[in-house]
Amino acid sequence: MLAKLLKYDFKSMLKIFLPLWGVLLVVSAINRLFSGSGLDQNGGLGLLNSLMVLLYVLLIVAVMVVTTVIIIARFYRGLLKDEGYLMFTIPVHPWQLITSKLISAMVISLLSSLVAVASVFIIASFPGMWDVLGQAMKELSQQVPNFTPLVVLLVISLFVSMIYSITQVYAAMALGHLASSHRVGFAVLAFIVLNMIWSTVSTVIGLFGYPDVTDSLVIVTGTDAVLNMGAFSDLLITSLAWGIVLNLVQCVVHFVLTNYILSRRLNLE
Amino acid sequence: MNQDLIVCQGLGKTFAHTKALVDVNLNVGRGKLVGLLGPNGSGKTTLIKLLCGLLQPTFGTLTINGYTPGVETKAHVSYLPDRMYFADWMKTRDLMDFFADFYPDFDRNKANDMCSSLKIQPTDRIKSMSKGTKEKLQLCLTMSRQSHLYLLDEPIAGVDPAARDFILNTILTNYNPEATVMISTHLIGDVERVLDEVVFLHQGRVIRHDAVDDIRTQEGKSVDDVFRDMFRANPNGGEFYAG
Repeated sequence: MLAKLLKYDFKSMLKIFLPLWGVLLVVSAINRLFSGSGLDQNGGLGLLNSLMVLLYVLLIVAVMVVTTVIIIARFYRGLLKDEGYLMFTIPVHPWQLITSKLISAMVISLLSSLVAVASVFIIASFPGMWDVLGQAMKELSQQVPNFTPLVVLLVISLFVSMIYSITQVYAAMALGHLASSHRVGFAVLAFIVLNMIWSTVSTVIGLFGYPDVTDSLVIVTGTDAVLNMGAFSDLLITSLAWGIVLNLVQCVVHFVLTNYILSRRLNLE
Repeated sequence: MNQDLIVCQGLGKTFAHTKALVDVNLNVGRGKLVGLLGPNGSGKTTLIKLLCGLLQPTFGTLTINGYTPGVETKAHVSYLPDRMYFADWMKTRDLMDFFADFYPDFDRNKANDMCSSLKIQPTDRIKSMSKGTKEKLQLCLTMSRQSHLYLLDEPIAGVDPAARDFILNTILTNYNPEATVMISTHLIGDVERVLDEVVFLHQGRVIRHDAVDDIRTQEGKSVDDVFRDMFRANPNGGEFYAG
């Protein structure tokens, strides 16, 4: 059933995103042609070139904004407004509805980010770019202790914090749904309150959860002070790991809360 | 298996400060056409939403076929809400795919036949249909399922008399004879001739549940007239006259 739900969620979103991503990639390719062509940049062609750069910047912003708006709208309009009359009367559990929305939102965000990064590469690419990048990575991995675990943790942490943000928006909308009127307003309020609660929790953990590393971070020899790379990377790994654990707990809290409200307290207008 | 299809015991639903349903005890059997009658705000939609699982009861219990509303009942309950539930990106064909994917009892050929008799093409965008066409499409899909229970919330409100006939005929010619159809309405005159039983709701309470023939024999008048006498608009506060 989850696979079937995903099919319709992707269908509705890709109708918007495929053209948008396509246009972004085409515009970045056009920009690439302009900057690499060595054509006369004066007169009409120069104006066109500037317009294309402007269009590219606007499209990057549009992809980010549309991704956020559509993720919110697919949950709000797809479950909590009139479409909910269909979605909550098909034989599936509410957690499956939420999971389908969440997975499709994650995939769309990831793809939007990948397309944005790809467009930057299209514009900025130069001969031998990959060699230079590879060399830089090699240097970093030699200079920074525990480079590979750091990168892996960083990727996991980005991924988990994405789930955290999406589920927080869902939980806020579900909490707003408990109000009998002004539900959007209450959802915004719930989002702010959730933010305050979580930042308090992470501050408390920050105060007591870390070993004291301030002394070992900097090595002072005579008049020189050098950053202790080993202690620095240890600190990064500890804080990333803590961040991931905390984010996972927050995701579970958001999901359970959303599922409770949509299962037990649903009240479509 | 439970003898009655629908069993409500002490069923109540409270919203914030309003009691939408109060202590409803109701048994409805199989193979019946039941009218859920009452003035606006009497709790008809609340009862239907509880039956299809869109609301959870505040008090009491409710079972359909022995199950509390959930995934098991939703597979066998066909629900027509009093509003449009289409996603605006869908074409008729997408909606049919959706029904076929999620409802094992959906009869696609039947739905196709009904749509072609309404001149609705599979490639028609639902967004660009007229309100009346959307309502008919939604009804066709609802009645194309071979369900145990059909819950139709105000299916004939707000449509012209010709459409009203189409809708009633669609209901009568398509429901599964083993199944029960519950129609909520305040336009009793139009549905009275097809109903087996009626349930009168007033201020969230069931005030009468009888066979239509019994009501006619006992009262010597049509259900419509009984309804009008019961809920006669009273400028001084709208008390109801039970008797």
